[in-house]
Amino acid sequence: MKKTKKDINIEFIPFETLRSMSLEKQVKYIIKKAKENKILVFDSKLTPEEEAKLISETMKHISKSFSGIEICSLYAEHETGIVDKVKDVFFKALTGKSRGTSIIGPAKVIKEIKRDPESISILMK
Amino acid sequence: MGMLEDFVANIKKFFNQLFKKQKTIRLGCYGSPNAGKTTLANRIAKDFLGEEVGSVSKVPHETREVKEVEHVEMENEGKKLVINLVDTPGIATKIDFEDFIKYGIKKKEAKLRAKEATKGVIESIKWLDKMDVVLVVIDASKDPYTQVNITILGNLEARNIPVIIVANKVDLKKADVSKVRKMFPQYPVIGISARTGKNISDLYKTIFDVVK
Repeated sequence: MKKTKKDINIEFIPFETLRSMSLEKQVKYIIKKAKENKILVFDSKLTPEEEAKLISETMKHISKSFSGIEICSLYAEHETGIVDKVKDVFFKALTGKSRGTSIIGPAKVIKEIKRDPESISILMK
Repeated sequence: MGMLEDFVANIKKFFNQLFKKQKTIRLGCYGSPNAGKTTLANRIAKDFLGEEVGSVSKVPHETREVKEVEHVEMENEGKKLVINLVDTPGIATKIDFEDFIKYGIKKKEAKLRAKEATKGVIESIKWLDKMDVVLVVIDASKDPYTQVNITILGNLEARNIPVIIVANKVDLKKADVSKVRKMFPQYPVIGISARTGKNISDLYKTIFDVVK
């Protein structure tokens, strides 16, 4: 059987692009890109509230051709200590961004995003 | 607040104190699909009510609606606690009806199950705001550091809702409670088997400790 090549489209997006939008528009933007089979990499992490909103909205878009997303928000450090939290508050106050990275892609393309506190592995289908 | 509202609130407070009315705590079970939320809710309900909350299955998304059992009187070491026990559908970022077909479910039913499961996820997230204490149920035999677990914990932390992590399925050989503790050192982690009841009294003690 002949195998067909699959293109993988990865977009690196400055978080400012998202921050300039309302939460509704952010979520719409991400889902639209995921439906276009694009993997998005942001130079900041989504907040838990943004992640929850994104998951809720994704559920409304599930269909035969779109089974959802894989998402991974990675912190700059494993933020468990008070020092890390203080660092994050200062970083956010200065740049408006949360330290870390977010990777979001369509579940149809990404099998799994494996993570440990400091690195991410993306397993493709 | 107006004078009338103040008056009514004070009267309520007076009668509550007079009859020592206990505050009812809404205790939610949250987690990924197949973590054992319903098995745990059934265990709690059976221990204190003598009846179960819902059916369990190996097929993911068996629970597709939020279920609340009201007025469950928990007892531990002579102390009493009244809870409303809430079992929630598993939270997921993807739902593919074809995954259900692999479990022998027919295509039409699989599609319906997927549709209901998506609604269940939305409902679970909506109910987060209503919780007083949450048991985040994690399958201790699998990788605990998943995005769903992190998103749930982050949202509970943002809402200042107390959390107990239940490292479930310790009856399985692969279960590793220490790994769950290592990943989430900021929360109380109790290793249990909701299926066999192993260490369940430790969990009840922790619930009382967190609520008091």
